[in-house]
Amino acid sequence: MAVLSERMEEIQVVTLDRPAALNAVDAELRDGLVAALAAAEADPEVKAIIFTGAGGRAFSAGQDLQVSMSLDATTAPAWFHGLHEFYQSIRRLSKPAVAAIDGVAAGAGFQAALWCDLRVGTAKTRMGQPEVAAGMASAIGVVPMLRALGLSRTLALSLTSELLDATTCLEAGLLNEITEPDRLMERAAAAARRMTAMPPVAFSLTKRRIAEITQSAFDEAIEAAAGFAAQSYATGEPQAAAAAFLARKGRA
Amino acid sequence: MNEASILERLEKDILVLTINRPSRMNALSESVRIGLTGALEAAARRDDVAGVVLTGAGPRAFSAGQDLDEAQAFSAETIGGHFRRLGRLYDAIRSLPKPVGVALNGVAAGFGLQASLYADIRVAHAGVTMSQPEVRAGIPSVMGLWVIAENIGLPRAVDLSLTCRAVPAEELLRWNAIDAIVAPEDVLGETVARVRALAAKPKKAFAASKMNLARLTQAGFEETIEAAVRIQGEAFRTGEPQAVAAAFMAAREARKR
Repeated sequence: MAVLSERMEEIQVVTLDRPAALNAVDAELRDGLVAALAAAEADPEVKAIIFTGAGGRAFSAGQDLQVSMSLDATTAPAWFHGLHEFYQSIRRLSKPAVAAIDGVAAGAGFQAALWCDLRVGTAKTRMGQPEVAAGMASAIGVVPMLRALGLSRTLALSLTSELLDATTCLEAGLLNEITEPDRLMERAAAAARRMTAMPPVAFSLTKRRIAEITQSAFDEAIEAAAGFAAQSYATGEPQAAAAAFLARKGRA
Repeated sequence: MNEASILERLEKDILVLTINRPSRMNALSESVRIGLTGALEAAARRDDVAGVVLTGAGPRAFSAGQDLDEAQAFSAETIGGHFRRLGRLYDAIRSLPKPVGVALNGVAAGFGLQASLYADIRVAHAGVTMSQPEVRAGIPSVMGLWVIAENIGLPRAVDLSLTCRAVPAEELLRWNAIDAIVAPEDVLGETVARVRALAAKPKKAFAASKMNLARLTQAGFEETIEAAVRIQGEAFRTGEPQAVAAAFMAAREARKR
């Protein structure tokens, strides 16, 4: 199982659980997350959701490199269309959602965290959008990034593929809090509980509105990303970048 | 005797509008809304007014938000009109072709926060906080969400709207949500000075720039008002806002006894 979902009192903790791959997003993790969130949303005993990553090194490093190597110009658009439901499953939650981020949140992992309501990190949290370094267009992530960071920082992050350190993330509003690793879940739960006592109709209508104001931009970005993916994968660049990375790590 | 909800005073060329309900934390009542809207719309046309400063009476609050006694009368039928009229007040700030500053003499919550963010500059003292407590009161955060997101980014708009927490002045300054923190006794004077400095700039260029920025955000502003009308109606049809308000009033009565 790529996603572990367990109850901690009234909070459902959903753990991205592929620690050997830095919790990278493959089809199993994607579908596991969608299923876990649908179950948590439907369960009346669940009052909030915390997302985290297993292993203490990463929340999620982004798109899985084996996925990148296996796609081609014909199959890549479908993969990106599949990410629509992955992010939507977070965006449509009516319950509080907090990301507990110890380590790297990059690419798809960064974006999943940005669609949560609040983010708690540690000193070793690093966040960013390294799609270009991986041979892919930075297209979907720019929707939440623009709303959080403005144009100049979104351009810089997208084009340099650099990751921001925890302090910079806090200043930029990408993290709401930095805490010690052994207090991460406790602080994430406290953040969630700031929201669980709110009147449920007002809370869920506000969350629906939050998703609504970026809905058309998000939908359009998925289409754009699918189009860019067909072009990128036709060049072989993403597959080569993933293979080179795996070779450096001795895992090819 | 009914004292005016809005006090008007000219400091030379700068019009100071004071929300004057200090015993109610300068809460937004019908008379405050009507008085402020009228004074701001008139200020746009007045030759003797070069700029406007908004502030609140007393040391505690600029404005603590919606008056809860008047909110008792809100219903699914009336809430839409309330938000349209509130939109007209905010538009009177953002579309005023002269500089508008807010002298934050105390807390700015809900309406107080939003009116501040529609202005051009904000000066506070170290004890000021801002919050968007609508959701806790059973009111979806729609218009506040928009203006916070436009001014200081969506993540902070989500944080403020969903946790309803009060943000201290120092944090607001780091966010560029306020322009300066000064001693409490200097807040009004510093705001007037800054508005006057803006008013001394070439007037046509200032007005054209401000109007152009208002035009660029006009579609979003109008869509937000329509969304507020729709979503608040939805909330009030469930009865939740009325129930939360009734519970709050009952708790307040119990404290008085």
